[in-house]
Amino acid sequence: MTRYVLGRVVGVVFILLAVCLFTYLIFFKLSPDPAVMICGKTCTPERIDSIRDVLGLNQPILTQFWEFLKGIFVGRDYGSVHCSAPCLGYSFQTNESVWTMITARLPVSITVAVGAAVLWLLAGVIGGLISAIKQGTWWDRTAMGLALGGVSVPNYVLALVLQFVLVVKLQVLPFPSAPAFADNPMLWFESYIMPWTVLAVGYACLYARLTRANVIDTLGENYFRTARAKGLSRVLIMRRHALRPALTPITTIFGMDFAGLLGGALITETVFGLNGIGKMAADSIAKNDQPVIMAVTLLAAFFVVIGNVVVDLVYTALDPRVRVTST
Amino acid sequence: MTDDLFVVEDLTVTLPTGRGPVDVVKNVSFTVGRDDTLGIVGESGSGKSMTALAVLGLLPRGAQTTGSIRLDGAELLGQSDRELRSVRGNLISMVFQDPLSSLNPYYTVGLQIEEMYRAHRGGSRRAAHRVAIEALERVGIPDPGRRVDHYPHQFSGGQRQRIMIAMALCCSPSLLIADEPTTALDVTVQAQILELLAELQSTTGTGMIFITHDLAVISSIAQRVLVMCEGDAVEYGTAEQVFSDPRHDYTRTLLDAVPRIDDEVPSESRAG
Repeated sequence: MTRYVLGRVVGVVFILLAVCLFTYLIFFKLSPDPAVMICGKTCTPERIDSIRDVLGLNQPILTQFWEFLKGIFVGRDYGSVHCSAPCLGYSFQTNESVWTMITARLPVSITVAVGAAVLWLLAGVIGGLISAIKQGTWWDRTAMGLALGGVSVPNYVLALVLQFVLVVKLQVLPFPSAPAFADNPMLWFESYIMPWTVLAVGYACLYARLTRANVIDTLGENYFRTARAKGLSRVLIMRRHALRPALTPITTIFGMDFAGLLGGALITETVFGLNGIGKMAADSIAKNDQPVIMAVTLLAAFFVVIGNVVVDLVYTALDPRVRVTST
Repeated sequence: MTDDLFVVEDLTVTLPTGRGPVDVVKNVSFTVGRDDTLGIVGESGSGKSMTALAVLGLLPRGAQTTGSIRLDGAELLGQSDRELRSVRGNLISMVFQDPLSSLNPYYTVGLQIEEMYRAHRGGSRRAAHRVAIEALERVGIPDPGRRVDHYPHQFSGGQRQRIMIAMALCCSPSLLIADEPTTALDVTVQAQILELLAELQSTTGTGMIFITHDLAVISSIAQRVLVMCEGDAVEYGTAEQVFSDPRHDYTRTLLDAVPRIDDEVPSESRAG
């Protein structure tokens, strides 16, 4: 088991390194000259040269990449300015440290992701489970019809409709502003409930259909029939012999979906004006703010790769067949 | 014949299909005495397994059952799911065809025996754990104290079927229904399982219904035989009677299909 974990960790390091290199090449070599970007409209050739010098842009590309990597772990100097580790550079637009920008916005994205995940897991799994048990009834048909509809609605449409109805027309909710929980828990909840819902609807519908299909499969399994033939109580049969096998595969998908969201919910955050990683990504792309784009991409890759490893480890705990072969 | 432990009268099972209801078991009657083994034979789709599932009320949704099923004089047909629960596994238990898929891959075999024991007998987990170890020992699983905490996929096919049998017998039921318990196993393991069943039956006095399509197996284990064809019971009598003097054409056809050692072998296959 230890060897397996170590192997995975080494793999993760290599994947992240590869992602770093590719992102670096794409954003620093294939996009417009960063020195020109920083210099702005009133620019002289001398100033461009000095910017290139400070940013190390006139060095070979691999040296630059090495400096970038080193910056993340030990910090680096831009001329007279010291950028302490973890250094992801400074925004071309605001001159703010990219690391500070991320740490300021990450809590918003995490709040959005966690809240949405709780909603969609509850709604999706419970809805799917009831549908599977009541297979073929009006409840099942209605719920699955709604689920199909829900998957099909783009979340920016849903976001705008909700915002228009609840905030503008009925005025039951305030405009989302991402307040701190400690300051005003009620306002915090009211601010986030719309983003959570918007983000959760699509996933909840998907998970409901998935749960339903998995549970129905499990109800047809021979071991489910054995459990009934053993005279176990209905609750025990459902919990042990239907739910556990049916929900285990869902962990995998959930891990990946959730990890993906930690890197920022681009559309939802942008529509609701929430200052999270997703909105930062959208803004930086619009303004070609390369250090920020680079950092956001790396962060998303980091979460997805780590999420993948966590899912695999959790899976070995959940499914004994995987556990025994992996040791 | 000893007194009748288990009586089935005029059992009819109707399943809903796309083309309307179909009778998959038609007016089947039989009895099983204490210590007795009834063999039910027939080809696939003859209604053997449906008969067995009807006994425990485990038929697919929408199935309808009429007739009478009595265990020790108590009528089982028409009982609610809750009432049948105390019969399932406790008074009548079942061993299925494919032992790998019949055991839940997510739990240790010990837990799967324990949960059944505790559902009917209650008691602590520790006590149930001891019962599970004893049950495994009785069916000849080596090192049961350690193996009880292993998962189904860590056992061989024959061992898995032994575990299913151990589980089925852990509450000392009065009737054991074995639905093709040896079909998924190779021939040597088959013989061992049959031997085990016969031995356990002689020590526990459990009545048994043994379902199979294999006449050779039936002849070695059953005192009485019921032959089924397309849902009908075409022949019913003692094993001796059915094998030596079959009255129905279908039984004769089945018996003729069994390869015999003194059969004429076509010359070309002998050369090959």
